[in-house]
Amino acid sequence: MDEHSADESIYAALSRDDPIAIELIWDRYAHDLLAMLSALLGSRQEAEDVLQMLFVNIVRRRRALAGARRLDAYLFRMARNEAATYLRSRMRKKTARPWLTPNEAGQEQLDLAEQLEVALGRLPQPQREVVVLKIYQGKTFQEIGRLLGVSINTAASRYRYALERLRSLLKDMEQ
Amino acid sequence: MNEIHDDNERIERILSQVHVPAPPDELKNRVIGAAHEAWERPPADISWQVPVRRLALSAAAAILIVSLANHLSRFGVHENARRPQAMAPTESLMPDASLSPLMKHQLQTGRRSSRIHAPALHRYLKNVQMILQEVQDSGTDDVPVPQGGGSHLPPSHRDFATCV
Repeated sequence: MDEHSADESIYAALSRDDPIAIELIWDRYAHDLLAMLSALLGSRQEAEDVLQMLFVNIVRRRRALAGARRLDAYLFRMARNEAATYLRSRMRKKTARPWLTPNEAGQEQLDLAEQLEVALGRLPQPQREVVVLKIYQGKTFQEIGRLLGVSINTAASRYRYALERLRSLLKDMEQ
Repeated sequence: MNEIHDDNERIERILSQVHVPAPPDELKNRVIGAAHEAWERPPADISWQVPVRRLALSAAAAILIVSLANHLSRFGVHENARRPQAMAPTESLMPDASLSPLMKHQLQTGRRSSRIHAPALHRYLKNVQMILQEVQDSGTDDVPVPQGGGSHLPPSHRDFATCV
């Protein structure tokens, strides 16, 4: 099922108030939302907790969601608001679980993952979001612009500045 | 420029050595379970929005009704003003008499009312003309008592309305 058809199915389920909409939204958006939440919160554990809170909120606001012009942008905006609320709250856990997983096994790869988390954590949030969505979720700048509510040029600029900053943060790292 | 491009590619290659893992089934079951529980409860956007929407609709309906009433009122006044019959008695009774400011105001107030009763106005103006005529004929400043014991005062806006 292509993305457009998936969104149409979600809209249809929401319109008839069918709980199957939850599963449809999960299948279509959960991974992308989890990736962005991980980048925003810097912790896998917290990202999973906020994802759960987000889905409960999606259910509570399902009527508004059914009338949203762009489902993906609406969900991503909700996710970012949820993350911001969480960051302002006192619910933050002291110990953060890593949110980047190495492609290969080994301590060296684990250390690399940790270094990249630290480097990405030093990026401003808008740049970090773009890098994660581009590199780890394979989104185009057009899609990223739509999800984050910015123009394509803005998304591309943020990515360019992020790489520039990462160049200095990771300059001693081998390929 | 090429150096920057190469550097960017290098950074991208480094970043690509890790990934964000997909949500596990355990997380899916937990989240969807919580979502289904929330589904059974009334949606948040119903609980407080319904009375607000009702209030907004009531206010809009009230504004519409008042606007319509005002429009019809103005339409009725314009219609009465256009009719030559309503104006003719007034003009024939007092072709040369100048109206006092109070009379002008009363007439204007009467015209602004939703219903102008021409016969009441006609009677009033006839009385005024008689009074003026008698004063002129007697050569005195004494104002005669109007016939029927009526008031000297011009009919009020309420009198016009009660004559309807």
